[in-house]
Amino acid sequence: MNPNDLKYTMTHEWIRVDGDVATIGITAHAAESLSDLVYLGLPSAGDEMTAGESFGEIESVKAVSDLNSPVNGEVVEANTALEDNLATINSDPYGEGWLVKVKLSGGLPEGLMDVDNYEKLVAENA
Amino acid sequence: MNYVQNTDADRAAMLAAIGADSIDDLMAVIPEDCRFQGELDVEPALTEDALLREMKALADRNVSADDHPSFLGAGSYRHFCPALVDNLVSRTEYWTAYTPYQPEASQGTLTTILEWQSMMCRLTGMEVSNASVYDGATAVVESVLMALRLKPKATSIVVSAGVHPDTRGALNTYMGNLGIRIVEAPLENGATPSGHINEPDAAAVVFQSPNVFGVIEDVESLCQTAHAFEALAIVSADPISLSLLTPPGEVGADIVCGDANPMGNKPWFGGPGVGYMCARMEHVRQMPARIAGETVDADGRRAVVLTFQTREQHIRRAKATSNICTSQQLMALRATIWMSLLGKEGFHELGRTNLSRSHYAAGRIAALPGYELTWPEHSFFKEFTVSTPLPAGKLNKVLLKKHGIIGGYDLGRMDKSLANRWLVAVTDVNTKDEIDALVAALETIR
Repeated sequence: MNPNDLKYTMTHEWIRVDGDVATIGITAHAAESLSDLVYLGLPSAGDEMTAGESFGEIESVKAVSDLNSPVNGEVVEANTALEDNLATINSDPYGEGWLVKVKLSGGLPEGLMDVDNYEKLVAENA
Repeated sequence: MNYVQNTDADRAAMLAAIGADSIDDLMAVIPEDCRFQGELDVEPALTEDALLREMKALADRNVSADDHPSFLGAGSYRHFCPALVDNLVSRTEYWTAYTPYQPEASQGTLTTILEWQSMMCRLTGMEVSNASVYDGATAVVESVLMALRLKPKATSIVVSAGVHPDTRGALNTYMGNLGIRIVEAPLENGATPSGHINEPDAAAVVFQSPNVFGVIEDVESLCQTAHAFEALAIVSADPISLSLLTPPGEVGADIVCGDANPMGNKPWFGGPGVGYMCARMEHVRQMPARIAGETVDADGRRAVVLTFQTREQHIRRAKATSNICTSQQLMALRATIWMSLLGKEGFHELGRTNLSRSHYAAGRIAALPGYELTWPEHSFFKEFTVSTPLPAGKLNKVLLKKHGIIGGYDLGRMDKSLANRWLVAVTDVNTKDEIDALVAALETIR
């Protein structure tokens, strides 16, 4: 059920690259683990993102978690429509539930996973 | 573990466990000429009865505001506290953990927190209150830290010189270690002028009203000044003054904070205080400490929860909003009971009593030869600064020694150039007779 045209991170973000713009979200597994979401803190267009560093936070009834940037670049757009409808992240994590679009500076960092390796990671931690 | 003195048998058992024959044997590693020889020069033990008399004689050397008329304030104030407050906080229902770690088990405690928050919001004109922090100084520091989280690019804060020096001391400690520059806004004629402040790098403008000299600041103008360079306006306020003054939240404050000790608590030995913090809902996720919220349980019944535990230190570790994941629960409970006993009308009436007594005292003192209000152009609530013909420290000494009156605060202790400035607090517990006695005493001091 995880799309095979995406890249994945150890911290359960996904990346879709289209030209020099990457769309980033959290995986279905992450959304399911967080359960009911109550708050999303996203950066604004123009903000810098650095691979490995937090670019926002997502809060569920259980915990507040950092959103970790898998890439270097500049935010082009944040999905502010989610703020009033956080359940979209649970129902459509790879579509309408995207979080930010980033103009990449440099290529994709190393160490990103393809779908098979990501699913292996999830299975190992289950 | 028991707290009874060790018996010979206890000592023998301990010595046996570590393989020493005697206490001297235990001490043998210390060279003999370094060890004290002979008997210690200590009085023989007193009996319990004699000890109580000795301690009482020592305690009686203290000068207490319970035994003398007192006009001392400077941040710590006496107000009437009905005996019912002591009685109610002693009820066993409140003998649970002061800040429950399994909070929802203590619905009664959480309900009192919710009541406290609701009352503080009404009083300050703000949308959200936390469950309290340690004291007024902590509340100001935590408000500034909150502002810095909301303005992560800021490198400084503006602090009015009218903020209590102890509070500024706490701010200096925190900001110095964070590398945040403190820009002091000096006073002009006892008040903070809003016109000159322009600090685009600042996260917040912090001021106190009434300020440390008793002067009521122009809260609205100072808030507008802060907003002009996109800083937050942080107002520290004596909550009792809000019985009559416009709630800061109605004139632009972003965070209202201070010490609620004057409500149902007492100066005691300088504390404990109880810090309060109120903010706007849009900033709630950066608010530190605990916040109680109302919800429904699985059966749809009203229930109270600690709403933001997800952001507290025991869950969020280094990324918590604050290292405070507690509240000053007993003191906040006292304040809550006190407010509910006074009620809305009673609280306003208390405010009017403070205002009329302090203004009566100020008028009478200012009419004395050589005395005048230092800043007559400004309004005050329950405390005012007087220019005195003699150093305030000297006045206080004579007042206490010859007249049994505890005088106002000697501002020379804050700043040597203010030796002839006297900060006089007059509240609802200062009767007209006390005020007249003070004035009569001052007339005799030359």
